This record gives sequence, structure tokens and C-alpha cells, in this order.
Amino acid sequence: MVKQLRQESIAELWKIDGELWTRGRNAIAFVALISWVAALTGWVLDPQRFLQSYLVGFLVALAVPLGALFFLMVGFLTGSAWSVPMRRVAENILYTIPAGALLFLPIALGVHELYEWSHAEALANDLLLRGKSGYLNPQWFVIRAAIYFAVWSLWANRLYTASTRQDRTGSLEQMHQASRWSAPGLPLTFVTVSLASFDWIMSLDPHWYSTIFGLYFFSGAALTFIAVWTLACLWLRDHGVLREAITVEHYHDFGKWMFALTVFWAYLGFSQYMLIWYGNLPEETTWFHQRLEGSWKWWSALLLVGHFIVPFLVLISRPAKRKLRLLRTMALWFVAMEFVDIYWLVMPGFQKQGVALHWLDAAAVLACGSALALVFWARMKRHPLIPIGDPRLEQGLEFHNI
Amino acid sequence: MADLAIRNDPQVRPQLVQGGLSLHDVTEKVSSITEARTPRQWYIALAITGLGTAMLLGCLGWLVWNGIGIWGNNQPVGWAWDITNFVFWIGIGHAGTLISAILFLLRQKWRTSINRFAEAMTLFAVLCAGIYPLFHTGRPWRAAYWLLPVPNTALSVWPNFRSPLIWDVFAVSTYLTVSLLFWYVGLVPDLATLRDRAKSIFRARVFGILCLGWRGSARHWNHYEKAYMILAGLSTPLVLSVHSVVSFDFATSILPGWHTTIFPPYFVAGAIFSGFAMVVTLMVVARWIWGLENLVTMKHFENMNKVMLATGTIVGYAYATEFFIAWYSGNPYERFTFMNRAFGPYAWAYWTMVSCNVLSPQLFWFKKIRTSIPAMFVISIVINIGMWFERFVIIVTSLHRDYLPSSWGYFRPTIFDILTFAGTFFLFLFLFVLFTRFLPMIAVAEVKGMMAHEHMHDEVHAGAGAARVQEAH
Amino acid sequence: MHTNTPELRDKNIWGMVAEFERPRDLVEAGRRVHHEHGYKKLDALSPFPIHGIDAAIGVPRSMLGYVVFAMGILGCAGAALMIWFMNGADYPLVIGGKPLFAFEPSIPVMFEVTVLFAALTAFAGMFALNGLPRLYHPAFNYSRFGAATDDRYLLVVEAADPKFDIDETRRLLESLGARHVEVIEG
Repeated sequence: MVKQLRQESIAELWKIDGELWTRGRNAIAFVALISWVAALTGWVLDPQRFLQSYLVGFLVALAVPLGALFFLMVGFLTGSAWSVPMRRVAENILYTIPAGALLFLPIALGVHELYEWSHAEALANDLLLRGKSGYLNPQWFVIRAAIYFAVWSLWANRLYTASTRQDRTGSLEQMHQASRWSAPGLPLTFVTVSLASFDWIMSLDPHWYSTIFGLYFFSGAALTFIAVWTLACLWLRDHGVLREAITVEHYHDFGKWMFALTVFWAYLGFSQYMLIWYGNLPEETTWFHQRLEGSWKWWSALLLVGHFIVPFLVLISRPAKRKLRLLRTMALWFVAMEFVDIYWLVMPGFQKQGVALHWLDAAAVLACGSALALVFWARMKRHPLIPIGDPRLEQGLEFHNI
Repeated sequence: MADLAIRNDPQVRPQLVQGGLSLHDVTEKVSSITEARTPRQWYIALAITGLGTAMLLGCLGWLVWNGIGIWGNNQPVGWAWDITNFVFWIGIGHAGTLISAILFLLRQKWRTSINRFAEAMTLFAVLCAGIYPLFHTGRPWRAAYWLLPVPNTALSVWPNFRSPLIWDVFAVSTYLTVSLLFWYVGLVPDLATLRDRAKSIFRARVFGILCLGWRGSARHWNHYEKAYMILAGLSTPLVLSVHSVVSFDFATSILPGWHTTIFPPYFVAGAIFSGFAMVVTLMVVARWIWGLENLVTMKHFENMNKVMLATGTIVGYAYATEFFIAWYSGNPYERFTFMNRAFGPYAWAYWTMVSCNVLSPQLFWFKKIRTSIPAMFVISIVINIGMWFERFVIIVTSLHRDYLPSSWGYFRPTIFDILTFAGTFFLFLFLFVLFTRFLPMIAVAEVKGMMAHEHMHDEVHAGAGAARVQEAH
Repeated sequence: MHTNTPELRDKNIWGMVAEFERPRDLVEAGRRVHHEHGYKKLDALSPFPIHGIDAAIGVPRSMLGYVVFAMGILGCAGAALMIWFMNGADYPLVIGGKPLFAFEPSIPVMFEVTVLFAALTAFAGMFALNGLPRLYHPAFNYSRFGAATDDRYLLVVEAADPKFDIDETRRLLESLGARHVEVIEG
């Protein structure tokens, strides 16, 4: 099949048809327009609440390309073949990271509204906060964010360029180049994403600390990425694109990854919670205490049941991972659960009375998500939807699960 | 575009079995090691390791006779070499299951040449590890009352399930059991091969019983593959849980340097790191002795070295995170503990750990070093020294500075600490010597399955030209 | 039983074995014998699992997974019950100010027992479903049985199959490219 397709002009074959693309763009642009108007209105009406919601939306949206960065680098390093047919879709997701830097601007402007450590009066009365002010201060906070985005964008760019260049050359050179960048990129991503999660989320409660926090955020991000990746591929499938290239075998693997990552997320979440519960030190338990009081305890229960128990029971069976409709439901479910998770991480400090959802929460998530989706969609038109030059492609097209 | 030359490029599809071996050659190569006349060197190796094991038994006997006072543990360092060695051996025992289970689920075919060996290593390492918690109770024959759900006869008190030490018992014994099952399931088809090749009735009977009458029926393989998949699926979280539970022994306490949430994944990464290092150390030797160059190729070593580079770097990430958060927490006890680790009386141990674990694997960035047998042999040993020191540093540095300076101390091992630890190495090698003589060191059925599968690919793509493997003989 | 050749009439025939040199020949022969010629009592012996053979000769998918899952759940619940009974009900002791029974410290043991039960079930269940241990089997009477654990692939047609006929079955197997066909006594 592959050879046949090669003889025709493949680049033409493996792409979205122009009209379909335009329809997709219009749909995303419509959502973007509405949600941004709503969000910006919210910023004017209630800047405090807007920034809180926006932080959640920003993190949920950014988690997706960050997960892609991690996953693609691991793929390049291990020479993974199964994921090659879907890799371009993932790369298009990855290459939305630079746009994420723009989305950070409202947070940079709202440091004072969001972070207690930026208040001079808080510092004056708090020895601990003064001790941390060398790290937690507005200037350094913004500079660090700039560094994170610079690193992520550079790596996103290098991987993307190597892969798309390979479409034309079909040579191994780009493959080596991608893995050469991935090797140092992986540890660097771990460090920068961890620090970013410390900065953006953990420092919302500047007295609290947990060494596992970076990994916890990362595991959720990786899961959300797989979910979005699956959704993107399924959308293409529904519209008759890549139907032969991405088969139920590949979706089975998506299902396995979702299963594995939800278990891994639960493992990290449990480790963090149980150790703090067990140690029972006041400076650590306050954070969980906040999340187990009032209506927040129901939100925590939702997180446990929805992010772990239900998906675990659904996805454990083999047939479930091969039913595309079920898989789509689960992927959507995981995206929703990432929102629940990030909301749970960010909001309790602001909503001490209990969960108080607001229309701005929805507007902010849709705004940030649709902004990145527009960039993604623009990428989907530029290159073939399959890395046609990758020598592993054939292996990836025809593998079967046991 | 991707023509044959590229597809056959070793970077695209590494040749995992080299030298044009046929399926029969693989059977022959591996089985004949156990069938040939016992070489004299084997008896010598058995005698040396056996004597060392006898020394271990002597040390343990002396310990039971006198009590654990013969070890150097004392206030404030109540946990020292015993638990260090326990964690060290358990860590080494992680590579086996990782290679068998996780790499299986990730469809990493290169695992087939090394998984049997690594699984055996897991079992022996876990046995060595088990000695320490059992004997540090001082009265190992009474351990059942404290460790297992058996009521104490006088008071009917049950073990305390809120204690992480009990979790350890469950985790380690489950791990030993499941690893043993996994190893045995993998062995069954190979034992059947040995049965069918046996020249003597005795061998045929023994292997016939051990393989339970395996005959390789399609129905057998059907359930077998399912069972293998399930065991792999169970072992993957299990292997994560075992070292996580070991880390809970420390992290559930409130001792600075022990109580930190990153401990579970950090311990797991360290365990994989040290386990792979031990596989490389032993595999280099085994490959040289039995001439397994075509089955255990440079590609296998290179992959293992890359895993070490990755896990070593993760361990480095954990060290750095701990340090950063110790500062960030603003907690003076945390800050003191970490400064004391790096610059206090045990600074020598700390920097040994950092240079062995974080710096030495960085040499694997260079392909020249990654593919040099002497270099990887040395580095893999250095890594295991480093990993031993990691546990030593965690355990001893946090304990030797108590909250009251009047209780400060400095730990020194006694001769019995040293001899017992050396003795476990002898026990480990003793079991290995036995294993290599009597059982197939390489998972023959799995290697052949992998070869045939690869080969079918070639047939699909390259046409009839690639029927070599079967036609060769 | 269709023991239609005079010299074999009095013997107890178990079946017929055909030896193939390549996995795909075995799969192809199995497929034809099962799907085109309607044989039901078939088996294939091979040194490693061969993909596609199950569908070719009609071996159903293994149901082992469901048994294992059920036993795993049992182990999990059993461990929780055990901990609650021992520390929470039978001999309650307050230690470290912790509740007598709570899920937080019970999860590690619950997890380990789940895995232990599931793994033991997978192990024992696999052998039980395979009818092992069974130290004697008529297939062992094949003169070159050892090849099946080395590098040959055997297709077995049992005499109990209603379509079994010594001459015809032999002819069929030979026509499918078998290198060697042999009648096996039971």
C-alpha cells in the first residue's frame, strides 16, 4: 500500500482537503472569538476572578503541547515505530508552544493579583516569605517564564524542522538530528516543566512545598496530550482522512497509554498525599486540609473517582481499548479531568468557602484552548499529515498488537 | 524514498542476533552450555563462592548467637549498613522485572537476549536483600509474629498494618513470588527444549517434570501469551510499588532528608539504574566466558547504557530537586540536613555518590564509551558503588545529626558489617554459578520468536530473498 | 475411527502429524485444513508462539484475563478486610495517633495482595487451562518430536476428527507442503 501511495504524489494524498480545512478553521475561530470576547469582558468586569480562571485555562491548554514535547522526544530516542503514522499530528500540537508564550502575558501582568508572595505587606510580616523572595519575586518570575518558553520553543522548533525536512529528504540524517536534540532536551524539559509548575501553581500557596509536584503536573500533562492526540486523529478519521494509515491497532496503543498514564498519575498523586497524610506536619497538611474541607472534598472525590477509578476500570479490558467510540469518550473525559485537576490545584486558595465555579472558567479554558488550536490547525495544512520521509513509517503502518 | 538500503540500516532496524545464526543455532548455542561436560573452572568458581557463602552463614550465626550488637548500629544511627544493603540489593533486583515486563509491554525486542539473565539476577538479589530485614530482628525464627498476619500467641496482637515495615514485607515477598512465577513461565518452553535434547533418561525425566509436559501446542501458546502479558502487566506496577514501598520506610517518617514526597519515583529510578548497571557488569563477564557475542550484541549493551544514562540523570534531577526544595521550604531543619550532607562529616560519602551516580554515567553521552566493553564494565561497577553510597548517605546522614546536638554521633561499621555484606555478594554469585550451569541463560523460545517475527517482516518487504534463517541448515 | 489400512486396523491410532519448515507454511496449511476442508480437531506444535495460527485452526481467544481480574478484585477486598479486622476490630491499638482503620496506609498492602492473587491466578490458571502438568501425551510419540521445540512446526490432526481418514488426510497434508507426515499411535 505504501509503495503504491509513494508513486502517486503522497504529499497530496495525506493532507486535509481544502474545504474541510476551512470548515475546521471557521469552527475553531468561532469558538475563539466568542470565548476571547467573553474572557476579555471578564477581565474588565472582575480582573481578580478572570486571572484565576485564566491561570487554570492557560495551564490546561499548555499541558497539551508540553506533554507532546515529552512524548515526541522519548519517541525519537527510543526509535518508536508504532507512533510514526500519527507523529505529524503530535508535532503540530507540539509546535503551538511558542504561541503559549503569548498566552502567558495576562499572567505576567497579573502576578500581583494571583501570587501572595508579590505583596510587600505579606513579605513584611512573614519571615519565610522573605527568605524565599530571592526566588519568588515578580521580575525573576517573569524572566524564568521567558526562559522556559525559550527552551521549549527552541526544542519544538528543532524537532519540528528536522521532521518536516525529512519529508523531502527521506534520509536518516534528520532522524539522528531529532534524537540528538531529544537527548539533552528530555532532562531539560523535566527541569523546566518542574520549575514552571513550582512557579505557576505551587507558589500560589507560597508556604507549601512538595518535591514530587513537578512530576505530578507532568504526568497529568502527558495524559492530556495523549487524549488530545487521540481526539485529533479520531476527528481526521471521521472526516475520511488517514483512515488507512491510523488503524485500530494504533488506537489500541493510545488506549494503553491513557491507561498507563492514568495509573501513573494516580501513583504520583497517592505518593504525595499519603506521605503528607502520614507525616502529618502542619506546614504540609494545610494544603490538603484546604482541599478536603467543605465542598472541596467532593471536588477531591471527583478527582479520585473521575481521574483514576472510572478510567482504570473502563480501560483495563482489551476490547474497550479497541472500541473507537469508547476511546473518544474516554479521551474527552480525560481532558475534562485535567481541568478538574488543575482547578483543584489552583483554586482552593482563592475559594476558601468552597467550590465556586464561574462562567469565566469555561471562557478562559476555551479561549486558551482555541488559541492554541488555531495555531495547530494552521500547521495541519502546511505539511503532509504523515511523516512520509521516515524510514520507520512502513513498520509503523503495519504493526499488530498481540 | 525509504529504499532497502535505508531499511536495512542498523539504525532503523538493529540486527539483534548476529552472525547469521539460524533458529537451530540459537537452540544449540544456549542449550549446549548446560549439556557440555562440567568445566573445571566451574568447580573452582563454585568452591570460591561456596566458601564465601559459608562465611555469610557464619556471620549470621554469630549474629543470632550474640545479637545485633556485633554490627555497628547504635544511637543515633540505629539503621545503618543493614538497611543500606537491603535497599541496595532490592534495587539491583529491579532490572530483571523491568526488562521482562516493561520492555515487553513497550515492544522492545532487544530484551529477549537478556531477560532470562536479568530475571535470575532479580531473584538472587531479592534473596540477598531479604536476609537483612529478617536478621536485623535478631530472632529471625520469631519474625513471623511481627511480619506476617499471625497473631502473637500470648496476647493475640496482630501486626501493625499502619507500619511501612509491614508494607515492605508484603511488597518484597509479593515481588519475589511474582518474579519467580514470571521467570518460571518464561523457562517452561526452554525446559521442554532441554527435555527433548536430553541424551540421558535422567535429564529427560528431570526436565520433563520441570517443564510440566509442555509441548508447544497452539492452545498452550494461546493461554501462555495471555498469561505472559498479564504477568507483565502486573509486574510493571509491582516493580514501581516495591521500591516505592521501600522509600516509604523513610518518607513516612518526619525526619528531614527522609520525609520528602519525591522519594517513591526517585527510589524507583535509582533502582532501575543500579539494576541495569549490575546486568551490564555480569553480562559482560558471561558473554566473554561463554562466547555469546552473537546473541548479546553491542546493540544490547548500548541500549542498556542509554537506560543508565537516562536513569542516572533522573536520579540527578531528584538530588537537585531535594536540594532546591530544602532551600525553598525555608525549614531550617531541612536546610541544615542538606548542607550537612554536602559539607558535613559525611561529605566524602555524598560527593562519592554524586560523582559515581550523576557524573560517571554522563560519559555515556559519547558513543565511543557507550560501545566500549571495558569502559562500560568499569562505569557499571562505579555506578553500583555510587548507588550503595546513595542509600548510605540518605540513611546515615539523616540519622547521625539528631535534633539535640548532645545526641550527635558518627557511624563506623564493624568487621561483621563488612563481612556480612561481602558474604551476600558471594551468595549472589554462588546462586549465579549454579544457574548458569543448569538452566538456559538466554530465553531461547523468545529469541527465536523475535527472529521469526523480524524475518516475516523481511519476507513481506524484500520478497522471497530473505528465507535465509530457516533455510540455512 | 477410520482405520482403513489393514496393517493399522488393530492399532490404536491417535492422529497424524505433518511437519513444516516455516511458520507461514504451517499457518497456511492449518487454514486450509480447517477452513477449506472442515477439520475440527486440530492442533499445531511450535517452538514459539506463531501469530495467526489461532485463527487458522480455530483456537478461541484465551479467557484467562477475566479470571485473573476477578481474583485480583478478591485479593484487594480481602486485604482491606484483613487489615480492618486485625487492626480495626479484633485488636484495636492506637499507634501514632492514626485512625484504627484508614485507606491511606492500607493501600500499599491492598495493592500487593491484589497483585499476588492475580499473578498466582495467571500462573496456575494458564497451566490449568492448558491441562498441564501432563507428563505423557500421545504427541510425544512422534518420532521427531524434538524438532517442535527447536525449529520445526507441526500440524496435528487427531483421529477423533470425524473427517479423519488415514490415506486422505495424509494426501491432503502432503499436498500442502508438509516435509514429513506420520501416523501417531496413542
